Amino acid sequence: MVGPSSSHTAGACKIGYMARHILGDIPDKATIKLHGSFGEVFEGHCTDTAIIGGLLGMIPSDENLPLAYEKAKELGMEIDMESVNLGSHLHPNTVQLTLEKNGISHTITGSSLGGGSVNIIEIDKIEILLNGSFSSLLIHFESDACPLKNILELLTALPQTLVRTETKDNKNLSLFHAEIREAEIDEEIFKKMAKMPGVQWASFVPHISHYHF
Amino acid sequence: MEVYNIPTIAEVVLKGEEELTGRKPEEVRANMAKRLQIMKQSAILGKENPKKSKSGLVGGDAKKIEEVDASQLFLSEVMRKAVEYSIGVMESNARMGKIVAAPTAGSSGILPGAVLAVQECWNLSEEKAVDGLLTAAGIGIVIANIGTFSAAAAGCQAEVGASSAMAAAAVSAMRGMSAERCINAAALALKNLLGLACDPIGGLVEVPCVKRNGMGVVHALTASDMSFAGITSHIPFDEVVEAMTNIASHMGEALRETAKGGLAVTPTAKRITCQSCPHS
Repeated sequence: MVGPSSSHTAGACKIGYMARHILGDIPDKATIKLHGSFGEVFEGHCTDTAIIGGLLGMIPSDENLPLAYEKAKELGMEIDMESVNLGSHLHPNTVQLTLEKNGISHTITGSSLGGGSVNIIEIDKIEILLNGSFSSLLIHFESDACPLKNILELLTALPQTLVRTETKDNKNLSLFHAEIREAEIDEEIFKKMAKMPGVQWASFVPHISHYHF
Repeated sequence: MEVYNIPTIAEVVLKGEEELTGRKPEEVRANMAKRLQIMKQSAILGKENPKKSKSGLVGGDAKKIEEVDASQLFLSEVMRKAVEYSIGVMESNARMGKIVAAPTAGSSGILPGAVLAVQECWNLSEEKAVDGLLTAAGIGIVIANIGTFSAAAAGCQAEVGASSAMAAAAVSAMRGMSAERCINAAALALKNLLGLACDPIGGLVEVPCVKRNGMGVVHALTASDMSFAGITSHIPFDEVVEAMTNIASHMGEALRETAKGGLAVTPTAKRITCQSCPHS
C-alpha cells in the first residue's frame, strides 16, 4: 500500500474505490464529509487525496495515488470537502460521500476500521454492510414492483460463489446485497438483473483482493 | 500452566486462509515472500534516500543508526539492524513510498525490522522468514477479531503495540519456539505498551511514529528473549488484548489520532508544525 496511514490513506482510498463502483462511474461532483479523526488529521494523513484517488478508480497500492488531486482536476471533477460530526455512534474514521454523475446521485457512508479494512455502512439512507473482503452485488428496487424471487432465481444461475446475502428496506424501496467471493461477475446475468422491472439501479463492487500489489 | 498440543501458528494460519479464500498454502506462502521483498525494498529505499519528508521532520535517522560505531552501542548487532530497517521503512512511508501495512502503515517498520534483521544476522532461509510473517499474521488475526488496529479507536497501543506483539511472535517462531511460547512473547510485548497514546504532531504520521517504530522493534525482540528464557506473562494473550480494549474505553478522543492532545499540543510541536505545514 501507499501511505502514510493504513486507516486514513489506504482505507480511505478503498472507500472511495467502492463508492465509485456503487455509482458505476467516476463522479462529476463529489461532496466529501469527513467525520471524527478523519476530519481532524486528513491533511497530514493524505486522506482527502486517497479518497479522490479511490473515486478515480485507484487502488491502495497504486503508486500514482499522491497525484489524485491533479488527475481529478484534469477531469474537471468538482470537489467539496468539510470536517463534520456525524454522530458519536459512528467509528471515528468515517466519511460520507455524495457522488453525482449524469443526473444520478448516491450518498454513501463508509468507515475505515484500521489496517486497511473498511465497511460501507449506508447507501442512500439504507443501512447495509459491505466489508470489502468480498465483491458486492447490489440491486436497488421498488419493493412492490420487483419480486425478490426473480432476483434469487438469476442469482442461483451465477457461476460465482455466493458468500452471504441480505435485503434491507427503507419505506417502499429495497436494497438487495449479495457478497461474492470472486472479483468479477457474469456480465450477461448481471445485465438481466439490472433490467428487471422495478429495478432502479444495480451495481457490482469488485473486491480489491489484498493480493494485488 | 497447560501446554496445548497444537501445530505451529503458521500452519493454522495457512489452513484458515484456505478455508476462507480457497487459496492453497503454496500460493499464500509465495504471496508472503513477495511482501517480504517489498518490506525489504521499503527499508533500504527509506534509508538510502537522503531527502526529508515534505514536512521536513523525517529523514536520515536510519542512516545514522547504520553508520554509528556499533562497538559503542548497548544494542546487539541484530537489534541494531532491526532498528535500522524499522526506521528505514517508516522514512519510506512518510514519503508516500510503497510499504506493507503490518498491521498498519503507522507501525509498518516493526515487523519487517524484526524479521529481516533476524533472518540476515542468523542466516535463516526465506522459508523461515515467511513462517515468521505467517506467525505474525496469526497474532494479528486475533487482535483484529477481539481488539482493533485503529489508533483512532484505541490509540497507538493498537498499532505499535499490536505490531510489536506480532513481531515478537514472528521472531520467536523463526528461532524455533513452540506456538505457546510465541503467543507468550506476543503477550509480553503488547502488555508493556498498553495505554500508548496516538498524539501525532501536525496530524502527520511522522513524529513520534517513526522513532516509535525503532523503539517498538527492540521491545519485540526483548519480549521474544524473555519468553525464550522462560519468563511467562501472568495474563494470557487474549486477556491482554481485552485489557487494551478496556483501556481504550477510558481514553479520551484527544489521545486517539486527533492531534488534540499529548505531544501534538506541546509548544514545540505547535511551533515546528506551523513552520513545516505543507499547506501554508
